Order: sequence, then structure tokens, then C-alpha cells
Amino acid sequence: MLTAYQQELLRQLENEIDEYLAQSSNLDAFLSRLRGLILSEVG
Amino acid sequence: MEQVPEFAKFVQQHLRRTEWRDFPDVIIHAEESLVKKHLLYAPAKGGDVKAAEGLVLEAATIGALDKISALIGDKRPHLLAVHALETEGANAIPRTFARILSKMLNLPVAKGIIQINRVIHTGADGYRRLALPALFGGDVKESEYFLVDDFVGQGGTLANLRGFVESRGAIVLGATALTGKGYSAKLSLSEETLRGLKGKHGTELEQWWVAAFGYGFERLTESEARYLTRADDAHSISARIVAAARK
Repeated sequence: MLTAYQQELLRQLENEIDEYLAQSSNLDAFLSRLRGLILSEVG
Repeated sequence: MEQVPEFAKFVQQHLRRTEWRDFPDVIIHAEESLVKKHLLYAPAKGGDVKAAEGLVLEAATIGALDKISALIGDKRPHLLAVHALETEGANAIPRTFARILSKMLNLPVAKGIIQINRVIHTGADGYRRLALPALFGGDVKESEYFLVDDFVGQGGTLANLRGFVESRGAIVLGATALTGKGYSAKLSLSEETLRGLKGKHGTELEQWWVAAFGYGFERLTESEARYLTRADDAHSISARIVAAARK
């Protein structure tokens, strides 16, 4: 069983991941590239 | 048959498995070698969010995303990651994967449900995986979920997370994993495999199993049941599980 401290660490990581990905431009850039690829295939 | 181990009482307080009904196969994105040999895999497993992001963006596939979309149809389940503390630290991959899927598929992400025990499954044999099941805690606030993990092996962790939320009134529509072996994708136990397991090891082992884990053979995953069926005899199964739990 995790200690209360370890559970708190896990919940903190949950928040860190959410915050990081909310401000990361990598995913948006990836999605743009993906859209470009799909459009070029359709075109 | 070995005496039911002491850990059984604690496990049974938290472990739930629900009927398989027609639970769909886990949608697997990438080959195991691509993910586990990737330079970003180890840091991502140890909690590095940026590494996890890079890994997921390389490994997630359009084909698997299409399958998830087709499976959920018009429904909008909350994506629920297996958020756990592992050998290497807090694994950042499943939550990051869920967040990225959320953006790609326009689905909400669940929060607050975590794995409440630390199990060392990476590189462990099947008995150890069975002896030390992943257990979950937190508030089940949503009515529909779709599970997300970095890896599917025997499928026990996903089965236990599904059991945790379904035993609290929610429904799990399906699951996806960044990687896993193809034969691990099928979680729901086939009649044939169940018959084979019962036929080989009889009811005595199943009674022991219920006493130890609180659920019957019909709620094992396909891979778990096949693994147990391969054992020489019922006694060796109970002995190996008790020994693995004591390690």
C-alpha cells in the first residue's frame, strides 16, 4: 500500500503532466503536421 | 493446496473484477520493441513528462486512433490512465498518453483515480503478476470510461482498473495500450480457455483462488487463464503464487 505521501506525489505528477501538456507546443505542432499529411494524401 | 496467504484479506478489500460480457480487445498502438527500446522510454517510466510526450507522439498510430473512434462511436467516455508508482518511479506515460489522446480524439480525461499499491511487474514472471495485483483507489465520478495504459501483458492491471470503476457503478467501454503483445489484446476470457483451465486443474484450485483473490476463474483474463493452464498441477500454482507474494 502506498503511503499518504506517495499517493500525494502521484497526484502531484498528475497535475504536472496536465500543466505541462496544456502549455506544450509539441502536440500542436504534431497535430498540424498530421493534418498536413492527411490533406496532402486526400489532395 | 497452499494455505490461503495472509495478504488475501488486504487484496480482497480492494480488488474487484467484473463480468467480461462482450468487452472488446485492447487497442494496441505500437510494437513492443519500438517503445521499450526507445531512448525516451526509461526516463518517461521514471516520471519525465517531456520524455513521455516525445515517446507517445512517436508511438501512437493513426490506425489505432481510428479503431478507438470507431469503438466509442458517439459516446464521450472519460479517458482513465493507469497512474502508478513503479520500480523506476512514478510512470508518466499512461497519463501523458491519455492527455494526448484527449486532444486527438476530443475526449475528457478523468482525474483522481490512482493505483494505491506499488507492484513490481516490469520483467516479473506471470506468478508474481498474479500474486501482486494492481489495486486502485479514488473517486469514481463519471459514468463511462475508456482505459489507457502504456503496456498490456497479462491484462490483469486493466482488468482490475475496470473492476474498480465498474463495481462503483460506471461502465468501461474499452481500453488502449501504447504497446503490448498481440495475443495480450484479448482480455475477455473465452469459453474454451475457461473449460480447459477447469478441466486441467479442477474445482479445488478455483476454490483456493476465490479464497485468495475474491473472484472466480471466469473473471480471469484470457492470458492469465492460459498461463495457469500451462502449469503442471494445481498445487504448484498455489505454491508459486504464495512464494511470489512472499518475495
